[in-house]
Amino acid sequence: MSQSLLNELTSREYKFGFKTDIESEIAPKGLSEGIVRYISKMKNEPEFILEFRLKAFRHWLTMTEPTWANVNYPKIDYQNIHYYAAPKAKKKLDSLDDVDPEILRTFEKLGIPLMEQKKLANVAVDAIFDSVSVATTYKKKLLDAGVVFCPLSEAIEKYPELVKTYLGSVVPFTDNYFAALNSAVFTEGSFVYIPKNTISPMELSTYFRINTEDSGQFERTLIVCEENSYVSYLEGCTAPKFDTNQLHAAVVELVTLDNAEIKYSTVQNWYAGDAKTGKGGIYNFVTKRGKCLGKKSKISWTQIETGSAITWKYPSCVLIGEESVGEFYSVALTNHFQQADTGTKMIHIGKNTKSTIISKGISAGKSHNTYRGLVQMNKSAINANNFTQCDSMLIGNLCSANTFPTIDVRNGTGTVGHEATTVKISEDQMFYAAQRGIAPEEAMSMIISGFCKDVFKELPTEFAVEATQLLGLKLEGSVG
Amino acid sequence: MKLEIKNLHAAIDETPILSGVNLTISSGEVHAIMGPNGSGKSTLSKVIAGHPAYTVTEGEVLLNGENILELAPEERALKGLFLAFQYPTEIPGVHNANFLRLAYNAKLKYHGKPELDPLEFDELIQEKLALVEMDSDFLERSVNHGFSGGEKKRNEILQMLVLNPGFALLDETDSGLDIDALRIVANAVNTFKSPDNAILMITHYQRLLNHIIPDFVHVMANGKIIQSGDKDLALQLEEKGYEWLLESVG
Amino acid sequence: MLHPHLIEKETEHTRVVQVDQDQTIEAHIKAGGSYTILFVQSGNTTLNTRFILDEGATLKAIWISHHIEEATQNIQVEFKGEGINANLSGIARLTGQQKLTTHTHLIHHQPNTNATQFFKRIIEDQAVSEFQGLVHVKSEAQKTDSNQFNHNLILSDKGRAIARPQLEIFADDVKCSHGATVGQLDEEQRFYLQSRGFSEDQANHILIQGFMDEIFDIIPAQLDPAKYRHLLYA
Repeated sequence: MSQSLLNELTSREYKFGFKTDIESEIAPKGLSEGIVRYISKMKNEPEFILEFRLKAFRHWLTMTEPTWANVNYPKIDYQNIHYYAAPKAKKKLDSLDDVDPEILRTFEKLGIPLMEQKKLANVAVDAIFDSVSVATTYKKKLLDAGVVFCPLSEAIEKYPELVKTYLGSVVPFTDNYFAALNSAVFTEGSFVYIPKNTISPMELSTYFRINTEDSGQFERTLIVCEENSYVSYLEGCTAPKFDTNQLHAAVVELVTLDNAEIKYSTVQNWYAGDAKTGKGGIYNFVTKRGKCLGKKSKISWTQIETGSAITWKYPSCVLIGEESVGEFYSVALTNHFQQADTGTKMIHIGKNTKSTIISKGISAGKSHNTYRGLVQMNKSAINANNFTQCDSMLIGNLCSANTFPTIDVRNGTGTVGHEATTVKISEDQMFYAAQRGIAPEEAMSMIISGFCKDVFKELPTEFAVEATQLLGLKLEGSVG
Repeated sequence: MKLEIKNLHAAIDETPILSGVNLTISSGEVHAIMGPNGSGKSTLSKVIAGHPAYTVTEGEVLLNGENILELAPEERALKGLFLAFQYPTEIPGVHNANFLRLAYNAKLKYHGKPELDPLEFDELIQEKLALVEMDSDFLERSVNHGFSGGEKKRNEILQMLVLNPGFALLDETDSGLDIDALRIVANAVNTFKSPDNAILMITHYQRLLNHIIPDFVHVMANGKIIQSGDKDLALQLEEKGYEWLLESVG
Repeated sequence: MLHPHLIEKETEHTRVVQVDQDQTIEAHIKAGGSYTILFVQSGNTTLNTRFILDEGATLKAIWISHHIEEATQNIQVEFKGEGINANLSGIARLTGQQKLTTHTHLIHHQPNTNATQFFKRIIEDQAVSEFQGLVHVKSEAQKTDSNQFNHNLILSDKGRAIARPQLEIFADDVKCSHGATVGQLDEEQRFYLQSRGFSEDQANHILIQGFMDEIFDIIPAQLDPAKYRHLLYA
C-alpha cells in the first residue's frame, strides 16, 4: 500500500523540467588546457586565477575518479561535456533591464522573481543560469550594510585580495577528483563577505539553473564571515529534463572567524532522471566544507536532498577555533532509481569543540540511500563533544538504506554518542490518522514530515515551506 | 444518527473473535459494553472503525442505514464515526495542533465548508482545551509522543470534542486515568453528550459509569453480547463478577 | 587450523575456547539447537569465527580479550532460518601498545530473527581499539530485530577508539539500530562514590567494574564469570 502512495507523492511530474530556448555562447565539448584558458578569457580573469585553474587542471590529470562511494554509474566521458555555456548578452549586464526577458521569465517560473517590484521580501537572490550570474537583487541595500554579495567573477575583479586569501583555503584543488576538476573549470558561483561586527540584514540566496544540454555546472561559492558576524545563506537548484546525465561538480568554501556564524541551507531538486527508466538526471558531485577558524565560531549545514540521479556530497566542518561548533542537519529522500551517498565529516582540532549531526534518510522505489560520516577528534581536541543521530526510513522492499559512520577518537577527553535506527510507517499510525478522517496520502506525508521535523526546523522559514511542499507535504506549519 | 450492528462476525489471522454481535444505538443514547478480557470488546470497536487487521466474515454494520463495512476508515470517520483508542498511536514529529487541524479541515472539506487557517483553528481549540483542563503547550507536542497514559486518553477526548462526531466509540477511555483525570474526562464526555449524538463506551469497570450514566449496559463474552440491561446490570456485575453472569447464562 | 563445531538439532552445548594461537572456528547450529560459547583470547592472535544458524537456533557467544598484543577477531553470523536468537558480546581491557580489532558481520537471510551485539572496550595508555560491525538485512528478512552497541571508555590521553558501526538494510519492516559511544568515567558518579567515602582510585575501580559487569553478567554462572573478570586485572 505505502509504495503506491509514495509513488503518487513523489512521481508527480517534475515541475522544473522545462528548457528555456535562448541563444547561448557555448564552449566546444571537451576538456584541455585550451578550454581552461578559454573559460578564463571569457571571464576576463586576472593572471592569478588562471594560474590557479591551470595548476588544478594539471593536478586533476594525475588523479583518478573515486570509486569508494556506494553508487553505480557508467563511466563519465569528460571530453563529452561543455564546460562553459552562457546566454549571449549584447553588453555587460548592469541592470535587470539588460537581462534577456526569457531568462527573467524562466526564474519567475521557478518561483524566483527577480524584477524589482516582485522580488522576495527578505531574501537577496543571486540567479545563476548555466555558467553565469544573470542578476543579483538587493545588492545596494546589502552594500550599505557592508555586506558583499555578488557573483564570484565580480568578486575576483573587485575584491582580488579577499579572493586570493580564501579561494582554495578550505578545499584545496588537491582535495579530491571533483574539487580539482571544479578548480580548473569553475564558471560562476556566489561570493559573500560579511565584515566585522555585522549581521547580514537579510537572507542571502543563490539559485542555480542548468539549462544547456550536455553542459556541466561547476559553480564555486565562497563565504567569509569576519569576527562577530552572521549570515544565513540558502541555495536552490533545478534543471530541465534531458535523457543524458549532466555533471554538477560544485565547491563551496566557508570560513568563520572569532564568534562568527554561517548558516548554510540547501534545497536540492536537480532533475532526478526518468522515474520509469532511470534515464538522465544530474550527477551531483559536490565538495562543501567549512573552516571554523575563530574562537566560538559556528558553521551549520542544513540540506534537503530530493533530486539528482546520483548525489555524492559531504558538507563538512573543520573545527579549529576553541569552542567552535559544527552542525549538520540532513534529509535525503531517494525514490525510483536515485542513488545518494551523503553525510558529513566533523574534524575536531581545537579544544572544547562541539558537533551535532542529525541525518534522516528516506528510501523508496529502487533507490539506494547511504549515510556516510566521519567524526574525528585529534589529540589537540581536548574535551571535544559530538552527538550523532542517524535515522532511516524504508518504503518498500526494492530499495536500501545504509549507514556507514566512522568515529575516531584520539584522546582521552573526547565524548561521542552515535545512534542509528530504522523507522517504518506503521499500519497503526496510518489507521489512527484515517480514523480521524485524514486521507492516506496526506497521512503519509504528515508522518514523513514528522520524521524529518528535527531537520526542517533548522531551515529558514522561506525554505521550510518549499521543502515541505517538495516532499509532497500538505501539513503547512508543522515544520519550523 | 443510528448505528446498527447485525450478526457481526470478524476474525484476525483466521482466528474468529466476534461471533454474531447484534446491537442498535440511536442518537441521544449512551451505551456501555462490559466484559472480561478477551471477550471481543476492543475488536468490536476496531471492526466498526475499519482496522485493516480484522476481516469481517459475516454480518453488517449500518450507519444511518448505509452499510459502512466496505468503506475505508477515513470515509467512516468523515461520516461521523469517532473511535477514542484504547492505546492511542504515537506519531513522532507530527505537531498535535496541526494533526487536529488537518483532521478538522478534512471534515469541513467533506461537508463542502471552507477550511480554517491556523489562527481560526486556534480559537476553536482553546475553548475545547479548557474542557479537558489542558495547557496550550500540549498542542505544541507531537501526537501522543512521550505522553503519559492519562495524557493520551485526554488527548483522545480533546479530539472528540473538536471533531464533534455523531457517533463516539470510547474504548477503555477510563483505563490508566487517576481519579482527577477520570472526573475531567467524564465531565468532558457529559458536555459532549447531546440528543444529536450517540456514545458507546467500552469498559472493564463500573467506576466510569458512576460518572457517565449509561442508558443501556451490555455484557460481552466469547464474541457475543450475552446480556443487556440498564445501569443496574453494571452494579450487579461489580458486586458479583463476570463469573456469575457467565454461569447463569450458561 | 579449522575447527568445525556441530550442534545437532534440539541439543544444547556450552563450551570455553582458549585462543593463544591463530584459530578458525566454524560452528553450525542446527534447528532448535542452542550453543553458548566463550572465547578467551590473548597474545598476538587472530581468531576467525563463523556461525551458521538454522531455524530456531540460539547462540550466545562472548569474546574476552586479555593480555593481547595485536589481536584480531573476525566474527561472521549467518541467520539462515526463522526464529533465531543470537547474542554476541565482548569485553577487552587494552593497555600499553595493545591493539584489538574486531569485525562483526551479521547477515539476516530469513524473517523473524533477533540479534544483539554488545562490545565494550576499556582503553588505557596508548592502546587502540578498532570496532567495525556490519548488519546486513536481506529484502526477504522482514521483522528482523538487530541491535548493535559499541561502548568505549578511554582512560588515558593517548588512547584511541575507532568505531565503524554499519547498517545495510534492504527490507522495510525491520528494527535495526546501532549505538556507539566514546567517553570517560562519569564525574558525577565518581563524585557520588567519593562522597560515600571511597578514594578516587577505589571509585574509579568500582565504576570500571560496573562498566565491565554488563558483559560478565551475561556469562553463565556454571562458567564462573568471576574467574574471567579477574583475568582482565591480573
